[in-house]
Amino acid sequence: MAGRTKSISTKKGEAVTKYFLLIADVVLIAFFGIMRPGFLQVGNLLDILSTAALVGTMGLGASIVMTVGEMNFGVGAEATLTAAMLGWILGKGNVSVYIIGVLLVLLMAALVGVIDSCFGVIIGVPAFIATLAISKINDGFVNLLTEGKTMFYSNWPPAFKWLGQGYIGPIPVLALIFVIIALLLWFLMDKTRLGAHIQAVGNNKNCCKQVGINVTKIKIIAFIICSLVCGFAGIMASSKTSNVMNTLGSGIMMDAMASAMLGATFLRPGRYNVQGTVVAAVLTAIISNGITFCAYPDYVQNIVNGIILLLAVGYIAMTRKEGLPSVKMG
Amino acid sequence: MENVKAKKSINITSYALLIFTIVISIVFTILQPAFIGVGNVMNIVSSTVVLCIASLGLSLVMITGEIDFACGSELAAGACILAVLAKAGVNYFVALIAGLAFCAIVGCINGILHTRIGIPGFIATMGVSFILDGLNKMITGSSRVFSSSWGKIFVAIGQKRIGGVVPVSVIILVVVAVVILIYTEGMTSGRKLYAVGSNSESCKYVGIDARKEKMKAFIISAVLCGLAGMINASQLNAASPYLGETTLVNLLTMLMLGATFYRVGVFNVPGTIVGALLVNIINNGMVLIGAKTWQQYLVQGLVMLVAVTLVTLLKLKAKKPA
Repeated sequence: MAGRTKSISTKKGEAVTKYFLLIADVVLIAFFGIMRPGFLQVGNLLDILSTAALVGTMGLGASIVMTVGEMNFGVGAEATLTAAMLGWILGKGNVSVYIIGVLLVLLMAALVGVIDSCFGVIIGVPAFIATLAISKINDGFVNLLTEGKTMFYSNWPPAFKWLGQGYIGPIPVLALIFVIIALLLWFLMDKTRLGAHIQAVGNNKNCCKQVGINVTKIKIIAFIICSLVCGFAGIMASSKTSNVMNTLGSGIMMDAMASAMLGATFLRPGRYNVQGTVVAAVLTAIISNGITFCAYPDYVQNIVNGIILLLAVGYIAMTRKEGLPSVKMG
Repeated sequence: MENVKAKKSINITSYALLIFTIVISIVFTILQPAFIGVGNVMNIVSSTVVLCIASLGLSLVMITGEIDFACGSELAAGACILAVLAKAGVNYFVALIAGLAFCAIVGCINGILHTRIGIPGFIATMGVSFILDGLNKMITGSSRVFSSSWGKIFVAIGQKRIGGVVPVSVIILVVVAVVILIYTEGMTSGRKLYAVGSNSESCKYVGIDARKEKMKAFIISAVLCGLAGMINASQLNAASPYLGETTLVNLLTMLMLGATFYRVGVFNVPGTIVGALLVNIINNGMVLIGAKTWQQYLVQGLVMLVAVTLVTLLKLKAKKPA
């Protein structure tokens, strides 16, 4: 009985923090809305959603690898490589149909995921460092494709731009795609057996082995899904600006990783989850949009992001007895 | 008998990195004889200094099994604070001390967030790095800081060469390296860091406070990164909040290479120094033989991947009972 009341009281403590991110979202929207009423215009709110789409999609990819207890530090380079590859094959005219190009480059992204997992899972190199090294190699290939410059071809098909700049009715295609990807991943992680296994592996690897879950296989699948999603995030980002910059992926990677980590404080504290990552990505987008909108200097954004990350994760770390999952370093 | 054999083979592998470094140097010398000239050797050594000092700091944190994700931001912070204060007319040495003190405080905050509040080290230092990036941009106005009024003393630690040959920065590196070496290899206090890294649970039973050791490591790391930043600013005769953007990747490469040396499978200070040299020899040599940017990235990535794979495999081999 005593044990039971104790668990309920910790649950109450968590209930307050469970929705911290969502509350922060609302509070910040209200704050910026009061500071600059124009912030609340539908157009601007949709713009926030399409900014969140890039960070969020990459964050979702990263969070899946984090769920299995590994870390993929190459998500940025994977996104850039996929975007550069697509831009190159479409621009050089090797492939003229957009969809086929997308499928081809996604296949290549999956291959990068396989290579990541070869080192990170099969050989057992700390994944964080293996993916960092692979990202350097990917950077090399990006540099080869773009010749060190910002890539742009005038013969890119219109579809290349539509993904990032088009609208269906009033809604940006980018935001719509983000919602679809989030729903798909939510379904995968929360409603399918594979998703349950992915979460189980992150929770207790040894236990999974005992009940016959193939930990290696699940981790490889997680890396492949991550690379695919992050690759697609790269395609989205290049489409939004209609060019491929060398810093395309690395520019959104830090925000994406932070979103995934912040997301782990939402709904199921201590566990990475799709809903949390989405809410956290929206939070990052609100902050960056709001700060630009109110014409605050750019450093405010860094500081606010850092404080929110430390506050949210710190609070969870102090209230949860089990502590938080860490990154395997060596 | 078998045991002796195993020990001998480990001895050879533990010096493989040094042998590899020498071989690579010979290869570059054959391809481009200018590589081994005194001027170029000094170039290599002085371009190693910044990252080598920072990597000595980071290696202490990595030895305890944590990571200081903020090292790039700390490096930039050291540079920016020194430059901004020196530009404002503050005495150079006061500015230097202020910068280092600030970095020590940052290290302290890293340590408190991780060891007292319990945020995973990676996330804690990442949050701190965001805030630091913001502060760096704030004090510099997001741009390069340069002043013609700060005089010769500002460039002394980065560019001055004693007797026209040996750079001051190299002497600083040697001093720092010797101090850290004595600390981690010779003193009980420093050896505790290795103990915490290898098993922080059992440290509790023998009376080593893992939290205190980690705290020390975070503080030393931040201070050395700050110092590295100051030398970097001095070499460039300017500071920028974006100085530290690629630092972490480079540092990790050096550390990983270093873990294949001396104490195989463990991050260690002697290995870090050799690793740092190797990375810079490769970078410098690639430029001298006229390699393209993408080839340089490719080689850097491959070297890191090979190093880390080697460490993992050697570790596996060591773990297996004979």
